[in-house]
Amino acid sequence: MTTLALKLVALGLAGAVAVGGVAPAVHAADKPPIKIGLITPKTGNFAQMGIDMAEGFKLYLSEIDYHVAGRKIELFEEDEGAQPAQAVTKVRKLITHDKVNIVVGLFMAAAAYAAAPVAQEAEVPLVITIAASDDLTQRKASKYLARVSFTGGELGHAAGDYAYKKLGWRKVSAIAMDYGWGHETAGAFQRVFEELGGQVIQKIWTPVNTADFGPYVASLKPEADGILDVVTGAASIRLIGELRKAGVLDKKKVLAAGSATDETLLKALGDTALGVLSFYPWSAALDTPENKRFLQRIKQVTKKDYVGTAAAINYGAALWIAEAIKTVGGDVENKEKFFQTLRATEIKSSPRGPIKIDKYGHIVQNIYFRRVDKAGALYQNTVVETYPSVSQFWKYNPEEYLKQPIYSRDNPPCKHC
Amino acid sequence: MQFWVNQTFNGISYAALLFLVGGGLTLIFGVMKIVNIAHGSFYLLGGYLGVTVFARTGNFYVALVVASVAIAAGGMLMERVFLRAVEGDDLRQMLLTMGIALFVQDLCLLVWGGDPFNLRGPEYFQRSVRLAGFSFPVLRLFMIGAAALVFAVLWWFQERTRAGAMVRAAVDNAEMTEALGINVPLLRMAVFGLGALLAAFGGVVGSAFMGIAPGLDFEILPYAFVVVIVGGMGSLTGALVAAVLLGLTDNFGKALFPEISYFTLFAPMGLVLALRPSGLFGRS
Repeated sequence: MTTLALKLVALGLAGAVAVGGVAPAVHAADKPPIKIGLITPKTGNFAQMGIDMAEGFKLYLSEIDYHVAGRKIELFEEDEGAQPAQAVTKVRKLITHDKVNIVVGLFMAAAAYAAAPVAQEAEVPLVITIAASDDLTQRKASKYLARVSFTGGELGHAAGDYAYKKLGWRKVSAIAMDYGWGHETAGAFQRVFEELGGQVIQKIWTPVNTADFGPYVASLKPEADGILDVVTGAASIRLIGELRKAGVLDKKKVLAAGSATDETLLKALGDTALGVLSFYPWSAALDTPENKRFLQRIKQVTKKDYVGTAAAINYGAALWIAEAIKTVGGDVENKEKFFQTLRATEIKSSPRGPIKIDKYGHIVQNIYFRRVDKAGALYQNTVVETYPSVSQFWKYNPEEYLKQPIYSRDNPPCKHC
Repeated sequence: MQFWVNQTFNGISYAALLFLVGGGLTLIFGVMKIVNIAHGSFYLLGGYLGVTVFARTGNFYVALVVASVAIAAGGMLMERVFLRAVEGDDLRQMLLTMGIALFVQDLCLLVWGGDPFNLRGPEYFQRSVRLAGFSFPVLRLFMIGAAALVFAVLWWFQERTRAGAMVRAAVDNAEMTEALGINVPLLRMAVFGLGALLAAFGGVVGSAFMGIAPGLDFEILPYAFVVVIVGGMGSLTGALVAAVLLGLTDNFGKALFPEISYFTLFAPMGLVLALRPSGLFGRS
């Protein structure tokens, strides 16, 4: 009854707008639709990630009925696949063939690095909604690029601070995947943690497709106060399961980069992950009206109990882009103005919290510290601490920060190993 | 001491899983000379089916049997309908299995989605037993036991039964075997089914050990090939020895020289290929 009433009111309002605003409506209808290109992996090992990204993004568009600033939105979806080369071809196709006004998405860091110059050359804004490599918005920042996801460094800095100050850790073993995400998150953690006076006494780099974490877990040093875990995806289930079976989780706390306990993994992790701490820019358990509303709506679309961070981030991205389009009055054809406005657009409240972009193109956002709990029949990442408005440069001066090399296997060096 | 016992035990339990996956492939390789790229797909499908059946029944052993038998049936069907059509043409056979592997990949994504699953198994899988002051996870003990049992049954079948003798004969000379009145096509179908069964069995056990997710089919495949190549095509004993060798080198490689763990895994393969091109137990 109430929904019917609401619909009637909405219809009435729409009618009033149509009658009252004849002139602008006609004017807007003359304009062609705003074209948005959305590129996410739909095949290959990361397909589910891509589906989640697209579902989050499209949920917001459907909430505004694919209309903004009096113009219709036309969405062009492409498959990023699992090969960076394919992704770049698709980005080029979106720009040159479909003539989109903005490109959104990208999961693989290599694809994002390769796509950035393509977007730059065509002066088409590129909004990255997952690819986490630090330098995309740091040493290799490009003008037409903005990122609303997160970086390993950004998360790692905050985690180093949290581990030292809130968890009281002084000695840490780090176990991280042997590629950019692991190097950058663990490196940033180490820098902040050691500057405060802590010691990273062990760094274990694990191959991306590690099947058996037994040997690594057995070689963890017993004197560490806690363990930093930067292992992602299906491998995270193996590592945490192994830590549980070997009894490590009964004795020590594990602090993990949030992708290790992403909501999409919680069911498979099950009881093994109870008590694992993590850091990420979102949690499904975040108790805000925006987040609750988002979860309720997205679950209607996905029909799943668990919704991952990729969906939440991409929902926020759509919200933020639509806001910028509104601000320029739908005039996305003025590329320079549109892009400047995009970067200047601030969102006060989205499912993940506020969104704002720094001058290098990366988001400034809340980092949440979460703990895996069981709430009723379902698992969740209970938020135990919030670090508000964290910059990708932490508390460092950006110019000086950028003079240092990117975090890697040996940077910072492991002095206390 | 703790270190060596722990790591040796870990290595042998991992070897058990490698044997389950590689053992089936070596059978298919040896008898049929088929480079079966879809072997990892049997593993993947077996794992997913195991997860589904376990979710319905709550019984790990029912899941193990149902998934293995179903995939064995699927494997036999695949051999009868597709592979027999291109019999004797290595390249086409390989491409066909590759195509089927890609098809299965998309099929699994469609049916089970892309989020990983974990097969929890019975409650005691999460526990450990203490023996002489050392702690051994039950799941790893189970893996070792399962692989030992499978090896014993297969060895008995191959060496001590009439059907096994037929298989050995078909490996050595298919034409002659057929001339003796043995139905070689039927034999091939059965062996292919057995290989698929082993991979699916490995998939269910593997899902309890390391979960199941898209991409595992092609992650597990190189390991299976390494086991087959090091052990020698078609040799079960070879597969067992190779699996133990690989499990131990992989494990000690990771523990002692974590930076070069890929090298420690694939170096033995290079060495064996250089010194004994037909594998440790292979016949040239």
